Amino acid sequence: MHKRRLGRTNIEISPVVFGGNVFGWTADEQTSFALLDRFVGAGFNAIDTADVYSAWVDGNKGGESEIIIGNWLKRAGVPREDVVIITKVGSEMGPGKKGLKEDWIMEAVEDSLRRLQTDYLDVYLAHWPDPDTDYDETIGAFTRLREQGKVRAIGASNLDAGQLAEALRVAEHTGRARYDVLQPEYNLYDRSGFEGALAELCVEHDIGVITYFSLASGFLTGKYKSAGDAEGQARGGMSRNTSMSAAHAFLQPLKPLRQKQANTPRQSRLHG
Amino acid sequence: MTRRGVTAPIASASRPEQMDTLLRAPDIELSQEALQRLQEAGE
Repeated sequence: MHKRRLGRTNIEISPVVFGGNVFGWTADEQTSFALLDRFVGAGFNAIDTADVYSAWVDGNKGGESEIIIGNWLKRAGVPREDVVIITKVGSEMGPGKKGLKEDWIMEAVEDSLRRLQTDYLDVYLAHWPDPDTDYDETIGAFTRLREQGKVRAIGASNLDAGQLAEALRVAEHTGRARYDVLQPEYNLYDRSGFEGALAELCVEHDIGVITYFSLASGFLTGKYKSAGDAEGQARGGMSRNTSMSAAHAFLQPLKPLRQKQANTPRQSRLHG
Repeated sequence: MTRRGVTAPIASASRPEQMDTLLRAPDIELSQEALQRLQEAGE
């Protein structure tokens, strides 16, 4: 399979990254193992998760997705270097356990490494901007982790163009590691958060971009034909910006394309 | 997957039978017309 270089890092990833937020949520451990076996068996290599996945499920506390991935790595016997693991820090993992201050990052990374049963992360992302912490402190902590060999590349999720530009400026000014990876929300239906200034900034600085909600939590697959279809579905409530009527109106003109291409909606939307 | 600046999208599945379409996505070649139609749909 043809891999893609992730920005200016020396990490190469498959053209689709598996979203691990389903592990411990809509996929139990055995199903998750089967999904990962299929994914890696087909030549794909990149798996996205976060420390907080899937804390929103009743009875979960966060870390479930990382634990399943770690158990799978151990069970499957896949060479560690054959898999690219992307995880995140910053979402609340308990009282006082959130944000991007150095103390918490240094503690959280150890928790993630333990759950994932590995001694390094390929990509470590700041999950959300932290208004209470300077980029200097966060980037300083990430730089230490890189120097310690615990993290290969660093980046951030959910930054706008101004925030990313400031983070890059701080890294350059201080001589510390810069964010080489960005994870924005982006899909065919909801483009505004990435296209334009943010996309151009990433191109200019050769920043690897991995998009999330690429299928708008399933709405762009066409599996929800009506509001009733989404009710009771675990992921039906995940799409924050996609109303049922708007999604239906969006998908309707694409039906002829789907028939002509004989592809499923999922495949076409990932290309768009 | 073809958008300027995007390295790769995240996609997921909750059941093994959903994996076929996900795994085949990189092999799909869309025509210029198809890409244009997708582009216009999102504008």
